Amino acid sequence: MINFRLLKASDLWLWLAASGLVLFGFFAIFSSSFSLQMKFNGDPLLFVKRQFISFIVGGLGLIIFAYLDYKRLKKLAPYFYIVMLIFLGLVLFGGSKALGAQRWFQIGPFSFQPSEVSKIFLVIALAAFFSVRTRLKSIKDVGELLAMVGLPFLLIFKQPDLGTALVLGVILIGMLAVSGASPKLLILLTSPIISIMLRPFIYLWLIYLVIVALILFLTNASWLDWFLILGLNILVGIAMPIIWSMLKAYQKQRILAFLNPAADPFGAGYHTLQSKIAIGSGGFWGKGFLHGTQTQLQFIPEQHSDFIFSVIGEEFGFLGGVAVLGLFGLFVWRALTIASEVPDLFGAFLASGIAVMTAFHMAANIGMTVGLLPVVGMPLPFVSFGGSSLLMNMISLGILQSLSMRRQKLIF
Amino acid sequence: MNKNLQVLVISFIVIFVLLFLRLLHLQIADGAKFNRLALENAAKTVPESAPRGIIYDRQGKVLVENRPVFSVRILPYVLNKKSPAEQKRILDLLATLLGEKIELKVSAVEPILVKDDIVFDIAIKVEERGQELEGVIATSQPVRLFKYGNLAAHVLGYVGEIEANELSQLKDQGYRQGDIVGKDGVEKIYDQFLRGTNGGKRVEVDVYGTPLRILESIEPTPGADMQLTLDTQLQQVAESALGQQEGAVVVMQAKTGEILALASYPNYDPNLFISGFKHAQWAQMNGSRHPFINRALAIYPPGSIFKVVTLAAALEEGVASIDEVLDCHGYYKLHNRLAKCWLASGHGPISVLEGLVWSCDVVYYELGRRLGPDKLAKYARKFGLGSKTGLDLPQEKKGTVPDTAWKKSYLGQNWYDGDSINYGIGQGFIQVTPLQMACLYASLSSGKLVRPYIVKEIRDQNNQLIYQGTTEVVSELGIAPKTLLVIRQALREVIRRGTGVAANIPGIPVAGKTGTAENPGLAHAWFICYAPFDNPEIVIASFVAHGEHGDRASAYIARDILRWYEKERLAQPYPPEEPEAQYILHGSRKVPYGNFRRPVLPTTDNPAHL
Repeated sequence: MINFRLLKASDLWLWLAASGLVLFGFFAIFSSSFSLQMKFNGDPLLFVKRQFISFIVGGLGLIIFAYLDYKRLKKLAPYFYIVMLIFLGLVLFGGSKALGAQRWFQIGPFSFQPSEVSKIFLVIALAAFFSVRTRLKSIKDVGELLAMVGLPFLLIFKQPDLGTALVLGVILIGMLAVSGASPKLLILLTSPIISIMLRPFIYLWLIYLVIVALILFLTNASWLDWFLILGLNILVGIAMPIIWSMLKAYQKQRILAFLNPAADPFGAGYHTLQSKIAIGSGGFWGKGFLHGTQTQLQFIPEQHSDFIFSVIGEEFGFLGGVAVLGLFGLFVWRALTIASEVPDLFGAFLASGIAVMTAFHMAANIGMTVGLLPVVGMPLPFVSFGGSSLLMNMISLGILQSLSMRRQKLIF
Repeated sequence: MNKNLQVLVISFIVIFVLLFLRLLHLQIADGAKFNRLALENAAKTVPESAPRGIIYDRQGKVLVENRPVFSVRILPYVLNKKSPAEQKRILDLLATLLGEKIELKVSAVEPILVKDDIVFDIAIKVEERGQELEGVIATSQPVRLFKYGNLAAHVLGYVGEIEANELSQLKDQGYRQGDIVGKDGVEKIYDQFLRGTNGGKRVEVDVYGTPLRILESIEPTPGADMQLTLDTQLQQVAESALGQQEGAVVVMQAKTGEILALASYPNYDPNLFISGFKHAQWAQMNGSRHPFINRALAIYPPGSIFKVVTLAAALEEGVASIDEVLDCHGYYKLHNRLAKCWLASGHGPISVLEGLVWSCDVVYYELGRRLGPDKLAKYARKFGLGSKTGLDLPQEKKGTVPDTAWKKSYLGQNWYDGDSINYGIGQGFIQVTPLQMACLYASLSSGKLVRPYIVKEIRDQNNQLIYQGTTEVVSELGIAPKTLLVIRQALREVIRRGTGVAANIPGIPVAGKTGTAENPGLAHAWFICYAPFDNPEIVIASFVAHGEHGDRASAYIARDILRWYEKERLAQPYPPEEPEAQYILHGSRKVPYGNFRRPVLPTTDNPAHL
């Protein structure tokens, strides 16, 4: 039944990295949830149990995708994509509401979040797309690509879920980079987004414009590129305040909620500050499992899910934090190695897409908890509490192992 | 393909290095700082204010105590978790209980004060229905209760939250932000005794400030109790005698310096400061009436009550003898200029002592000129003028005793004889406080200047004496007993038949002096007396700003106080005085009327000035 020879070809480091992260997750989830669960549900292990069930479900997903020859994913890609769109559409009508957003299907005690799983399906779809059209040759290609990402993006935007929408954008840009798209195209796509982010800080934005101009100058950009790229950035900068002023109050509210889903009840920066205090006070060795005051006294919001890294930082210290970084490093390194070793383009795009997705999740999540990035609800892969996220990550792991097992031609 | 992957590899390395450095920064470089912040986060001190000490009067009557003030607060973190409908239900129920609309301010972590100073019954109701009113708490806190309202406001003072400038001065003495401190009166001066030691609990709290467990608990120690020398009834008599006239009354035990009553008007109700001041009330307080000024300790020109100093100086310095007779024509001529006596028709031939009895200005112009400023200043200082008496109350001023050097340095002018003659009658640059004058007249009997005091004793919660007010002799006057004796005789005559007859009441022999101090606007009215004249128990200084006539406005106040004192407090009743032949003081002799031209007695048409 179990193909041991195939299993032997799986990537050991990848197994190690993922199980290490999941283990960290269990400890941190227990530490951050046991007292509240004890108090309200009489079961200190409730969240750990639920995460374990998710882990089992994720394990099934992992096994399915690991044994499935990844090449068949290419044919399945359109179906995955359509199923994904249907789910994203359904959740808008039939989903459960929480924190002002509509993201969940409630199935008994479990909730299912289609937007989480949509990320990996988009990676598969994009890999299929790029493996056929390595280089974007026509406007039609660009249009198809934008439509492909744009549809789920809009559906997720409507929920609203900024984190996931951002991930989709980053996956697109990362895979474009891997596809060898011209740097100018990448700049054309990314720079206006950065402009939007920097525009509220007018001086930063102006400095940023100068940097963009400098890059264009150094790369001997053509007049058309100058016009397109700089023009687009300036246009965005000028249009933003005008569009903003035209919006109605509730629309502004909605966008602010979209930008900051963990709407801050105690004033700006409170969550980030508490998280920084938690991590900083962990010191080198950490305060010890279950001994973090910030964690145990509930100073950190969403500490079992989005802010789980602050629990690790506080209770396991610098050592624990670096260990988690190291495990992610290992994961991403193996993913890229697999990408470089698989014989076909589809597999390479698949592995690098997963690497981009996982690395971006990690960077955005840890960056948020250490106060480097704004608060955007995004889980830490494998570690955060949450079934959909764990399922998606384990499917990714399954795909990576499937790739790993099939990178050399197996001799039977 | 591999070349394209390098873009990703480089980006990932940058990301990992950045995050690694950030962890290094947060956890290693700033670890200690964040550790401290985490500790501060997890423990909060919930202060429990100590009740302030109780203030009693000399008979043990409670003047100031504490009452519990109930307030209703909302815990936002509890309420915010409720559904909007539930929130509305709780707030509506609370509004019904309080009987008024609730306007919530911005939500915060700290409990929100809904209503302060609610009545006990409502506080109980809120407590009883705690189950239905989740997130609403009723708390009680001791606050000051000044039982007699405005009575003795300037003595007692008032309390309020410590201000930034006070805090910076008092930080070393254990004062904290939010402490209630005395702002005036004994509440201020003896704050360190009255305040007690605040207790509190150090509690471990979660993010919402919900107390989880008590780490440490210190019971507050109530402040020490204080007994004043004040006589509440006498204070009431003094205040009603003063009525609504701007001015001050000081009643002091002549020998000990214990203040029995100290009134100043306009005054205020110290209770108003407890439950927040209304805007309009502030406006009134800060208007031109200056109710916070303790007028018993403020400076005014003394006028004729100063003449005892001139007389003592003249007799001691030998510039006049008690036998000397001067002639008053109603004016005094100095270098082609005329200075008027208050009695335009003149007092005729009049001795220096009789000049005091009738407050003849001409006599004291002349004595002032003969003495000159420096000798007058020397005696004024001997009597304690120009320096604080040392009463244990805030706001005391020291006044001004001018001399040649003073005028030179403050006004840059030379001293003229015109200044001297004014000085002789207590006008010009000299400024005194009503309290100083009370002390001065008290010293005439004993020859000693005593320090007035208002706090008799302070006892801590174990009834241990921790402070005691005692009679302190500030200085011996250094004036011949014989001089003081003739002055006292003259002062007795002032009341018996001179300008102070208004205070001549049966049952208690009074000695004293009237004064009308010229100043911009209507003249200030003074009256200082002590009684009984041969063995003084009390000294009364009454002062009515712009009261115009010392022999009436102020003398009537003293008369009311004396009448009450004679009935209620006088140690030994005095037999009614035998009618004595009318005589005039002529040195040590009493010379019957007729030997001198009889001074014109004051009439309603010609009111006795000075």
